[in-house]
Amino acid sequence: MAIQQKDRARPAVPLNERLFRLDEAEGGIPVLLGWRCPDCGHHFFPHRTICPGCGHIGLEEVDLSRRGKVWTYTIAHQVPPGAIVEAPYVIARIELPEAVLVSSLITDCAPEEVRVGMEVEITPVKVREDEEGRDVLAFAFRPVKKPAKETKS
Amino acid sequence: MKNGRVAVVGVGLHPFGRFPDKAVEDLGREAALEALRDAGLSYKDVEAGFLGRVTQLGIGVGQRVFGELGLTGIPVTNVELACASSSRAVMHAADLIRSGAVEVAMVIGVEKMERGMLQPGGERSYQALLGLTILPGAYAMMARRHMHLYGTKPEHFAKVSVKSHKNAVHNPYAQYRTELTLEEVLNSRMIADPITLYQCCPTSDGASAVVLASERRARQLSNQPVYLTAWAGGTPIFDPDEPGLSEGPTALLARKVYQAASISPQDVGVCQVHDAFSPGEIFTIEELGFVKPGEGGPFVWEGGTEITGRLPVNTDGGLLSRGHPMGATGGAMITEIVRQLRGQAGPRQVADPKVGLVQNAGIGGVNVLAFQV
Ligand SMILES: [Zn+2]
Repeated sequence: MAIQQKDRARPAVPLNERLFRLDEAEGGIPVLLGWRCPDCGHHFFPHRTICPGCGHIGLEEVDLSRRGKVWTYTIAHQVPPGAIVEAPYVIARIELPEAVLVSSLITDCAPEEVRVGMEVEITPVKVREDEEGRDVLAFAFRPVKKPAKETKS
Repeated sequence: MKNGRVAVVGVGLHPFGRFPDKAVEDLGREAALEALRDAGLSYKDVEAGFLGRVTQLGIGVGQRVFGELGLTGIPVTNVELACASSSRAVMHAADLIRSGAVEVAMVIGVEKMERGMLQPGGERSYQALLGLTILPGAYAMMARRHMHLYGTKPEHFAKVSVKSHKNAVHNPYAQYRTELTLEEVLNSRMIADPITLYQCCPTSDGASAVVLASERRARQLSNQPVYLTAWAGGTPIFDPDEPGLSEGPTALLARKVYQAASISPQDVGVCQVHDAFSPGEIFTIEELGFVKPGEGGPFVWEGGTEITGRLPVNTDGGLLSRGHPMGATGGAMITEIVRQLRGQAGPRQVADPKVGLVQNAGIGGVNVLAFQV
């Protein structure tokens, strides 16, 4: 696909600051911004102000987990007008431990290798450069290479 | 003063397909005149108008389309609920009649569409840039989840399209009137796995019209009235445990409608469901309670939704083959149910149905309507 891997040496900005930030301490990994209800504890993504579970007004921004599982997916063979991907590409709904579903591309694997239930982790993808020469990044998910034992430092 | 039951007394269509030389006013007028002729009424009998439409048509379309039929001063309201616009318009007309405010109301649904894949929610530019929001992709992901949960097979989805195309051969208003084999459907170009090209509805031009009347007024007309006995519409409901496969609370609305009409799924003799993409029929017959969750695929595969099956579904070819001019689709579903319940469906007639059900879904909304003779 036309999107590229992030070059860690280059300065980068998120494509949409309402959806995620870049964790510079972790080498610019995207961190999805979830919204947690202080009353009932449900998490939401993307942004909401009012909890659809209990009606509480004023949700709290929280970092969402970097890993999840493929809840469902499709291999798209046709690129819609205006999109920067190249066919075939994988669109998925990723289930995070906070019980939210996130729509995302799946990268770094052959489309036919994707499975429901597959463990995936968030990864940055470059969509373009801005006027100042910085990489503009989106997030995608990719298969977890090593099984879950490792802990992040 | 209440008017008693609400009847559908006239239905009409402009054929679905591509009509570059016709304006929406032309399409709407032709469908409306057919529906008025069918009802045995003239436009001056109509006391309120509702127009279903979605895109590309500008402001005040309803006033223009109804204005083509006459200048009688009636109120005209434009209704938009994506692909479910004209069925929602019928619900508003029925509410008005049931309230006693008017005795005759007409709904017209129109659309002229461009070729190619629709893009929902243009404001969601992040998702659009990454190609995440394609409509067949949304259905394909629901299909994949269904396959994962229940073992449904790509062939089951493809069979829906084979059946729809077979039915549309006998529908002179349909956009595609050619039979397709299972192999042709499965081997057509892959769009979003498991959905192939022949499992996607086309974009279409077309129009539908539905004339509704009070029971009292309906009894004065020559046609056998078909009663709209219950209707319910809704939007998605937050459920933290089970993210739904569909666009709205179809199962909940169906239960409401069955209860209000004092019917059960077993009473339904003919059904129209929203099959913008072939998996739609399988999800929907489960949500409407005709089969248990997970049984939709095998039920379709074994012919359960054929005209001769236990539950004939989309007897006119459905969105897949009849075509899907978005604003006109709900009215076309109702037109087919009315023709079936009157016994006027010709070679695609179901054997003596007494109850017909319509499920029409728009992006983020859904309608369920029950019809009886
Ligand atoms: Zn809450």
